[in-house]
Amino acid sequence: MGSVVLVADETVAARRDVVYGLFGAGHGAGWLFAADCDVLAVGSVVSLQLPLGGPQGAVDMLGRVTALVPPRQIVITLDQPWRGQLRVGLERIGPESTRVRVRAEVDERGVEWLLRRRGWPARQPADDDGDYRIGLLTSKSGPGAVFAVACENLALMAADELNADGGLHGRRVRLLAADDATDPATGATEARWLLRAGCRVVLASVTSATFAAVQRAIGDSGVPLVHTVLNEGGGGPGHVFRWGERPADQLAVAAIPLMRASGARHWFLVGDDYSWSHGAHHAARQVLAQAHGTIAGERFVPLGTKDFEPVIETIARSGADLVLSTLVGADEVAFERQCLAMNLRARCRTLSLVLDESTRERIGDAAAAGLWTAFGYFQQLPTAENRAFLARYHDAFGPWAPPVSTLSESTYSAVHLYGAAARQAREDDLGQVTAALQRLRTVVPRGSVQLAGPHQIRQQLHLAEASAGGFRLLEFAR
Amino acid sequence: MSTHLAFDALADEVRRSILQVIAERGECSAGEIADSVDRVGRTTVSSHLRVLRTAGVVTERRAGRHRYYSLDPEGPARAALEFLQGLLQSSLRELKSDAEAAVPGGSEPRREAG
Repeated sequence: MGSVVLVADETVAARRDVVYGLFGAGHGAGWLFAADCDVLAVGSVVSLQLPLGGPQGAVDMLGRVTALVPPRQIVITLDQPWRGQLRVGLERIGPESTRVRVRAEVDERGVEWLLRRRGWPARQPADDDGDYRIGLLTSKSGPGAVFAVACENLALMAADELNADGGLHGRRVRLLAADDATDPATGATEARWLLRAGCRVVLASVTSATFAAVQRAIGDSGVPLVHTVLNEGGGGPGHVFRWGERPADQLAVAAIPLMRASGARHWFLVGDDYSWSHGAHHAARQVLAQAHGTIAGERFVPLGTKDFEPVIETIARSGADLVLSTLVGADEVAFERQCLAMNLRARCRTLSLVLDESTRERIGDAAAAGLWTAFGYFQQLPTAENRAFLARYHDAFGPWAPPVSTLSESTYSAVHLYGAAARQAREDDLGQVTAALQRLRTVVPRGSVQLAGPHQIRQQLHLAEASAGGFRLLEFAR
Repeated sequence: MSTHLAFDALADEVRRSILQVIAERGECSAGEIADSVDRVGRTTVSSHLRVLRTAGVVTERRAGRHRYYSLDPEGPARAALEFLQGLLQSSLRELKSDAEAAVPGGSEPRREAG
């Protein structure tokens, strides 16, 4: 079916430059799904709200401005919840009259997403196509859509690379992707669907809350289940893998250098109220105590919080001079922007454990500048592998594709690690695949990694400071 | 087919379960569906199937005395796109009222002096 283009137009009794000037100006909720952007410029990130109704209300559409012809045209390329262009044309039809035309591109995955979101049962792919199915559970909507933005792109790219290399056991690899809506119950339902659809592995680039629900739903199936992204760890059977950075390792790399650089040592811990933040704060108490830091206070907020004013006031009153944020996705974006607006930066430096490239750009240069984080991957890694990887990504998804982050790179690498394990095993021997997945050692864009058992991946972490347009890797700086 | 009908058809939990059964098995008879959906009898299933067929969500095939149901492959996608098109259009209508309100002096009610 490819993609279809929906068209809507309206004649407005106002001058064209006035209509154009309203875009992203935060003027009411009117201008194209309450479009919000800091600066109307090519490359700027934009968020829009699609009023889908239902229990979850409006869904954030995340994209960026990719072409501008003031005051005639604005082109937005959407990344979430589906990929496609949104073209807005403004035609002057009189001194006080403008015709606005919107053309929205929706591809097959977009239609599929919309149907699922509206409660439509997913169609099963034909049983006999002979494809080797790999399932990806990620967040195309909800607060996690921010950090998961490039995960599906990169999983598709890895699947294409496996196919260029002969597929798996002579079969063409096909990626089936599902959206957990950053909601554990939805994630469990979608994971069951991926299994019914015949996936041989489920890669989960989702929050720990969703991962726990997925593990309860399909964890006893014997099908490998991989939490690809950073997480707080936890137990589970041998075919349930938790890769990605651990908070204790991130803190070990970042906390002491930040205390040394700032001369500060009173920490305030702020996180989302679920297993990830609780686990990360538990690790933080141990690491910070060893580093002679003190805890000035701690707050957990519900995932999906938009107003952080009370929390920021509490931090300001606590006497803390350092903030550890374990907030994720849209919550972290809102928190950091409000910290800047409320002038908390004047008294506190911040270490954020889920400050990936996509979250950083949605926080914006002004509010992100000076924040520290530590991950196994940054786009700035100065290695030949990483340069070649980014070049392939932009060849496949264009110059305005959303930035790669440690979360999406790990999703890409998980597809390749699984492919390497599957090739070492007999086709339908889950035990052999699982065993291979516990001891692989390979080079991925982030560098050398070594899998050691179901719950550990050995990798090097890098300390970085957010700066205009990206991150500065501190170990490579003077 | 009306978009409204299609989404209304989905508002009911029993109808959603019926669709799930059809989606998982491909084509199936009313009897098979009734056996797989708990809580409701054969007659109720038949009347829900009629709603789903009128809404353009499922198609019916008759073979002798039996009727078989499958998801209409075109129906849901068309309904989803029409729904989205409606959202685009209403967003532009809001833009129109916002922009016209923003025009200096435009739609401001004139105040009498004094």
